[in-house]
Amino acid sequence: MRFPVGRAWLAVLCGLVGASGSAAPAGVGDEASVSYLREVRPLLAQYCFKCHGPDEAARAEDLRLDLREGAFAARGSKQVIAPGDPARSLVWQRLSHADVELRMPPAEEAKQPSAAERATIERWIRQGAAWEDHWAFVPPVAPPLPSVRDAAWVRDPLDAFVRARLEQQGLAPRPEAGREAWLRRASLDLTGLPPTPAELDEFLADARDDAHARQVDRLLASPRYGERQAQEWLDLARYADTNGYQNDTPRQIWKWREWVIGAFNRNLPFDQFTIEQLAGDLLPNATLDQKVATGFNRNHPTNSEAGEEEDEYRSAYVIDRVNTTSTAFMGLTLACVQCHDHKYDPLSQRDYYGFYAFFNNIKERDSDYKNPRPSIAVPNPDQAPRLADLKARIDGLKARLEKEDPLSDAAQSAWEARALERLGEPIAWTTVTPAGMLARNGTQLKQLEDGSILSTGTAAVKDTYDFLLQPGQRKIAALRIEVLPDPSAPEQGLGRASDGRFILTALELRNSTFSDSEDPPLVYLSTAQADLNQKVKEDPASYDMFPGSIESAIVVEPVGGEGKGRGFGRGWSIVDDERKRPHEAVLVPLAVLETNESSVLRLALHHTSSAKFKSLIGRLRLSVTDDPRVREWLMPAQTKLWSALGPFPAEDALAAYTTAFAIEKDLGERPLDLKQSYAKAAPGSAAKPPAEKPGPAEFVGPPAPPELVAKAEAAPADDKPADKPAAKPVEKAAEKPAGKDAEQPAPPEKLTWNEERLWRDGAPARLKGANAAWYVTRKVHSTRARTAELAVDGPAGFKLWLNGEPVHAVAPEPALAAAKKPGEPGKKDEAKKDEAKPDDDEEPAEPEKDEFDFAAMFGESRSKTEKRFRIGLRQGENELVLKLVFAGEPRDEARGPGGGAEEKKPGPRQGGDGGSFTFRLTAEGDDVLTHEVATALRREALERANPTPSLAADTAAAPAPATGGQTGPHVASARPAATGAPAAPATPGAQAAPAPTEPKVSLVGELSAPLKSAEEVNPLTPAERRRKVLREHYRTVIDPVGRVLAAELRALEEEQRELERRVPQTMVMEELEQPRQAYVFGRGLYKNRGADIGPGTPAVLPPLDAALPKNRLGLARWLVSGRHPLTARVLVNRIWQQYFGLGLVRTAEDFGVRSEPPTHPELLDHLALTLVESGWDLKALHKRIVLSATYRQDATLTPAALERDPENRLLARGPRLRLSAEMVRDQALAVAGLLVEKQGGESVKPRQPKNAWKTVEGNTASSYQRHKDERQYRRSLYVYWKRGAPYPSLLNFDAAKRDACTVSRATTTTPLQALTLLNDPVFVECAKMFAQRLLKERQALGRARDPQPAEQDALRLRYGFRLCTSRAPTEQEAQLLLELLAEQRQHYQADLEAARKLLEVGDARLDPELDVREAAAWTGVASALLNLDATLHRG
Amino acid sequence: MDTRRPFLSADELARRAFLGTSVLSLGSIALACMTRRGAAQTPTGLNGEPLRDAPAPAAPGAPGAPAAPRAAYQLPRATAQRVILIFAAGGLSQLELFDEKPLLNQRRGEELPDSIRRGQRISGVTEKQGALPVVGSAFPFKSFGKSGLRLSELFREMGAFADDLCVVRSMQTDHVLHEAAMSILFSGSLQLGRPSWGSWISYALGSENQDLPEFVVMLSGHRDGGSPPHPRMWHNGYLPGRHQGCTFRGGSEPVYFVQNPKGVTDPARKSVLAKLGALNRLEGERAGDPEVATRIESYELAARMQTSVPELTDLSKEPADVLEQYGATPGKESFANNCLLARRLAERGVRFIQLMDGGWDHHYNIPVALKEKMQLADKPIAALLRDLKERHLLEDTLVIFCGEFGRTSYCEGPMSFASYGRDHQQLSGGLLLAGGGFRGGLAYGETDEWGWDVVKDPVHVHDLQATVLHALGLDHRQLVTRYQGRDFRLTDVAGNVLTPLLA
Repeated sequence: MRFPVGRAWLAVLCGLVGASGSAAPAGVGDEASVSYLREVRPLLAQYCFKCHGPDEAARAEDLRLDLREGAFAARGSKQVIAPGDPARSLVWQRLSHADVELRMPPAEEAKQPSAAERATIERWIRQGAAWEDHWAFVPPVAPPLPSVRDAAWVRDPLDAFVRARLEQQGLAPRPEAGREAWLRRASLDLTGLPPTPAELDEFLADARDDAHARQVDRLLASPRYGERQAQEWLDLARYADTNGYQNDTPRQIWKWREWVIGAFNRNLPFDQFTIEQLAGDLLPNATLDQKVATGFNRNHPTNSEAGEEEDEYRSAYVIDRVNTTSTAFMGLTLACVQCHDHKYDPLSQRDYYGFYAFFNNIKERDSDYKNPRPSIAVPNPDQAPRLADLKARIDGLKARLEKEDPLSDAAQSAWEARALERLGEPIAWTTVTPAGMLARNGTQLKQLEDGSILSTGTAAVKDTYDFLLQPGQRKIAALRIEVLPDPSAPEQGLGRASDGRFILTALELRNSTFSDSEDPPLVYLSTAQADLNQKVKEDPASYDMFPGSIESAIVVEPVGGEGKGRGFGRGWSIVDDERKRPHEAVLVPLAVLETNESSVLRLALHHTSSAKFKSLIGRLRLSVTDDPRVREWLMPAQTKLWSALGPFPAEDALAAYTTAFAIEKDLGERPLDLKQSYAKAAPGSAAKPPAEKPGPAEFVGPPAPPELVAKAEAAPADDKPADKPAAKPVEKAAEKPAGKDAEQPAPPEKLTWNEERLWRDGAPARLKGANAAWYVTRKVHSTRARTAELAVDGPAGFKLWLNGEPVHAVAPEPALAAAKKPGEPGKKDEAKKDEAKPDDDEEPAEPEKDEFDFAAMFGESRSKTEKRFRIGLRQGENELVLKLVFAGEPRDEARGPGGGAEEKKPGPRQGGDGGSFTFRLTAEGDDVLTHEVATALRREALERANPTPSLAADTAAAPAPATGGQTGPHVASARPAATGAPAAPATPGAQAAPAPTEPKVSLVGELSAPLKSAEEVNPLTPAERRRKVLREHYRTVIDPVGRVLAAELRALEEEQRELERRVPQTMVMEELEQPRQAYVFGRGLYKNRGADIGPGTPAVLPPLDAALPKNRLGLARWLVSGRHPLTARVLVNRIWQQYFGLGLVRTAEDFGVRSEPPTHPELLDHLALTLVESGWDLKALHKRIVLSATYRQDATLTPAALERDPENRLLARGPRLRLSAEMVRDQALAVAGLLVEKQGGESVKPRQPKNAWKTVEGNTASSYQRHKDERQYRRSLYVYWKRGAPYPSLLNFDAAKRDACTVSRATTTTPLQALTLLNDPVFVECAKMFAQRLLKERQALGRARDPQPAEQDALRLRYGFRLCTSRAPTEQEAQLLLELLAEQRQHYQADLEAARKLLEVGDARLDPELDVREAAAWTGVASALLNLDATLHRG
Repeated sequence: MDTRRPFLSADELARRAFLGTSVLSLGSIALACMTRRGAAQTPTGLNGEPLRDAPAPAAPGAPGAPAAPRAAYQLPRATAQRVILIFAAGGLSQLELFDEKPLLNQRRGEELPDSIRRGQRISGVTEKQGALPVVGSAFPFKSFGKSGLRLSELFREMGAFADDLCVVRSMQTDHVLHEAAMSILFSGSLQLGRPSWGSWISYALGSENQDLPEFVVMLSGHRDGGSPPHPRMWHNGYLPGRHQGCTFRGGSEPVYFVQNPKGVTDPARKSVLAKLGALNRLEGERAGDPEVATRIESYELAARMQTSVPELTDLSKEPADVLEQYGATPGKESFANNCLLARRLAERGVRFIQLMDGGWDHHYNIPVALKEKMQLADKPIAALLRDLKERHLLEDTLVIFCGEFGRTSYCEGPMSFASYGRDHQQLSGGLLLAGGGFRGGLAYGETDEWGWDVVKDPVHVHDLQATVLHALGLDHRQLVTRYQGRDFRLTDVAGNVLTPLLA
């Protein structure tokens, strides 16, 4: 294991190696001289600095020993340290005091120096107390090249330093390693993959002098180089694909990883590499690429736990950045200084928070369901042009639709006049006072005299209002809910949430007129419209702020208990200043309700938003009207309920589409008789015996006896047994497996029409039956002849009949229609096999879900597969019939239990059991109105008629107290202060002060603004809003040209949204315009704000150049200025560690005073300085090391060497290192011929043990869906890294967990590694394909011509051994392998079944020509080869 | 081949031990999940150096421990040899379980007085709620045992062990969010990356059993809400990798990849292992690297694990009445099974057994949800206590039942007589300890009559950790490891041993 060294190591080093020659001062006498830095300072640090060190707060006696001034200060007649005179040195006096009371360290300190340690200090003082500053803080000075006796050995200057040290110690280097060993080492170190036999042979045959250099050049030019180097960098940067804290949700930042790989490959100089990652966004004219680079400091874990305090976690992220940046670039552990001044290093808390201030200005926000912000879109090359094109066209269309246009305005006026005339007299509404009312969770409801109802008392967090209405004998054409502001509500608003808002999440209306049931049926509401439709936010992630439509609150299925499942925040709401004004919504039932004296209507208003508590309606009034005009205005083409008939099964989707099932004969006869029933089978299908005609599993069953059914042309066969009733459209995931039903013989089935009360326009309806057709029909009542736009989504194909005439058809695409039958070879078979292995210990492969499809989650986006077209409706009743065809997707794609969540997702879905169907009908014509437009028209007219400004009406709400008012018939136009009164002109003076519309929730203040729409920031006055509504309506709905443009705009915007959703996102740094004030936090707690502090660098290091900006860019430039004592040293040390296992400074993550001093200080400085001189050329540095004589040494250990220098600190031999986790897996894939090399891109999900994610998943996490395609064979660098459940096999080989910056991984040898290599199906699959390679590849036999079988075995084994270890086996090894092969053959010859099972592991299929037993035997041998210690090492 | 024969001679092992852990390393004997400690091996600091003044891993009082000088962190006496930590993830509602507050029933629905709350931090969730109406326990309390310990009726079966239970009613932590509070409970710090509690104990005490991991974690039921467990709650931080908690999963593969692949029979596997061992031996000779020997050994251990782990986790051989007592079903993944497994592990000398049980984050509907949860937990824990007692294991096995914090006196979400919830509370909370030298029948600490804040004998998480370490014979101030130039310990810079809790 690699760990920082302590004193024990020092002892070893001193004992075995002797003190470093360079740093130690000349000795006194024959006593070994004591080095301050190596020996004394660590002791002082351990025993003294706690009270006499850098920490100002803890300092005792004003004595500071860590600085030269303090250490040699005079104290009275004595000195703290008197060089050469321990007796006169206070330090020594107190350390050696006889009186325990006076002796230091105090007796109560747990740590007491040993006698030997005390003696070291005494000796140092006696020898003159030579003081040295900490080497790491002193800038390197070019050391002279040491002269060495064996100069011929030196290939690179760096070798001179190594050799000189060896000569000093009387050691000789090992001879040069063989070419195969060196090439293996270099290939793995530079590219992470072993050399191929061909590469080895080529190199072996290369007699040129620069053969080694040529190999290095080849390796450095390979794109694998960048991947290998990126691997190290990802550990430092704590890269992961999830957010890490609660629920460990996914994030997208792989674009940054792609950037890192690319940067290494194009050999971006390290100074530039640093600047772009720390501050790419601050570079002048920063490119997208440079912004992507800043993801480096966004890789920390983020928390989205509800109830967090923003500042708290934000400051935790800043601290993470400080610690990561200082560790990665400076090897300094600033973490300690977070809470107090450093005990040992000369770093103060001010230093820390000065550094902190550089990283404190990010526009970040985490309580977000998307990527933690800031995050930017990085379009793929194919996406960018289309996006630009879309934007241009959208901007153009918008400009056209919004431009000033007097002609259009004139036409609009004419339309307004016509429309007003058509609206006629205002609707008379009758207030209904509830016969009973109750809030379920204890909020109190009070009846006021004006017929309104006030919500009082303590508001429940969530509540449902239940109203019992007894309207008496009447016809109810529509209901109205008015929401009224009230002085008692917060902000005098409409709702009781802290900001005066309400969110009506669900609304249920039930009618018990003809039912005495406890649970009377829901009234089907055809439409519900409010007088104000505020736009739903484009960004649904800011879910606690967006208003929804009243339509979204309507429920068609009863809401249980507390309105479960609807709590996410959607629902009707009114935002901004409008939340202080009265508003209303009109509900229109499917048919006019006729009530009588005993009728009871039950209305339930659910307020169950989790986004905002107590978002209850504050005051409301209910009224009804019998005036049918409102129905006509709002529903010029009124749709009735759907009826559905099906499924009619067929061979495939195409057959279902083309076959005219019996029902189609009836289409001409109108109106359709919905009482009619039809045989299920296609005409003529009975002719074929079922055995020859395998259908999807659902339909396989015993043939049904022929039966004549009325109007059926042919006898049915192959019926699907009763799954009664045939149509259960809104099926939940939990369906009985179809196969079960199929086993029971059942009578042939007749299909009948089913009325679908649960289908709503715009919402997907589920239909069962793959490769089958459905017929659905509905009536549409149009007030006049008109066109209407239809939108159909979901089915693979459809046909439409209007009033008996076929008018439109879309055939299924051939891809969907064909080749989806069972019994076919290929994918389907495998899938079935998988199904047959329920105990298979791996995650099921599922169709990929888009983790970031939030628009779909909120039902906001329309599917791009939607088909739209126009039809002409005649006046009065129209009859629509649609034939819907669903294709049968193979069952292997079927969802696991987790798939249920997807049920809510709209859009087309083809499942094994049918599909979904979404429909919308939009009437067109100049009589199309919405309640919002109608309201605007009336108010606008009123205002024109009566232009007295009335502030009360439209501006800052000053609603009348909830007393007085009238009950009984209630005419809208007569309503005071609500809708009736004329509005104020939109003068600035009359406008209400822009109220703070959003409460300060836990969002970062600065961010609230950019997240709001422009409208919210500058709310329109009601008059402005009205005019906007009217103009928009006229131009996009009424005006025939505008209508077309608007439709195009909508389509383009949808395409844009869809495309944008697919564009990769990546987290970046973005600076606030106004820097956030930083403070020194007492004890490191974000709440203990101390002194203000600005950006600054630690005082012990060279100052920030005055010319540099005091921001991240300045900081980055300071780090790579070349004058920084740490940056280059830390970097070359880490690279050295990559090659030799340990750095020249063992504590690669800590260069502070307690770090281990470098074994070769001058070499370290030499490397650092030459790197800077080379222009931070990393490839050049790698090349030097790999070609050096030091690196080329043979790695064989001898007992003597082991004794002398067990860790190879003196570098008297080559490095023998275990492969990293990634190399182990990549090598196995490469050897097996499975490795898929492709650079960059999204993370991949190879096979992993079943349920590895399950135990760490919260409710919102998605389960692991592994990739079954070639992605599973990509390099490990790309394996999806979930912080809470990292990929097990990589973790077993010591991959870093990526919670925090990791500089050195541990190297362990554990039984878990053995188990992984032997048993993990991924490695078993590798062994299998490796075996195939050995058996099939011609190269395996080398140049031998027609070798005998025994010879063949030997050649193949040799080839396999060489693939794994890059060398040929020794005779003994070859013999053992032959024996193993014989044994394995014996096993599998005797057990064919076992051989078969073994070869079934993994997705990769063996060549069927291979003998199964032979392949299995070789798989056993291949597994052994993959497990060899030599395979796991580069030596 | 005899897979048990070590490749290295005893001399060689000793020599490697002398060389210390490092790249070559005994650290790489480091068998994360199963480790074998030669008597010659000393506990080491991170750097591979032997711990200062820590010559031998003599578990204090451990039977058969070699007579070796004590490490600086070792106390002369230990009352506990191992710990079973049953973690109720989400936060136990002390007001329904341990801390009887009649006032909350009397003042039900009233706002929590400001004089009591004193502006203390509450979570952002209920802060948005606005009102903070208090609510009393739906479950009455009763006196249990000779000691008359007051516990709620939900302790149906555990109540019988009242005289063994040490109840703390004054638990406090530093944070009101799951992530943070769990981090403090398991690692003593808010900062990520520190070693977990179990890792420290594994590090300090080593194993009593050479064929099992020192620190085992078992998970149950985390899909039903609350904060999911994260490996950082059993991770080794900067202690050597072998001290990481080893997770045992339910089902057929308790440890990843412990089963042979399909089609690989034991004889076929044996043949591979034998030849592999021989080949590796040759490699060891060729390369001269003692590390190769470690690898050979790891394969031998792996082969043993392939039988021992499934054996250990196979509950089907437990007598029916034992299974019944726990409510355990062999082969299923359940909390009851984990409790029974905990006893089997304790019997075999595993030092730290951590049961992570999810679903205790009762923001809503306590009367139903907590009752259900306690019905699932009470019986197996009681069975575990009974079992340990009968086998005289309770004497030196400490059982802890706790969450990461308590819950508020006020109601979160809808309140009705049938339903109410509670938010997170860092100021007060309760937990149970039993065995391992803790005093039975004791109720320690007191909160104010609103159950809001501690008024007497507060117990901070660090105090709990210090006291548990003390019972294990460890001085929490001395048990340190150095990383990045600083000495770290489980109790950070705090913690007091609470002697009144100890018998």
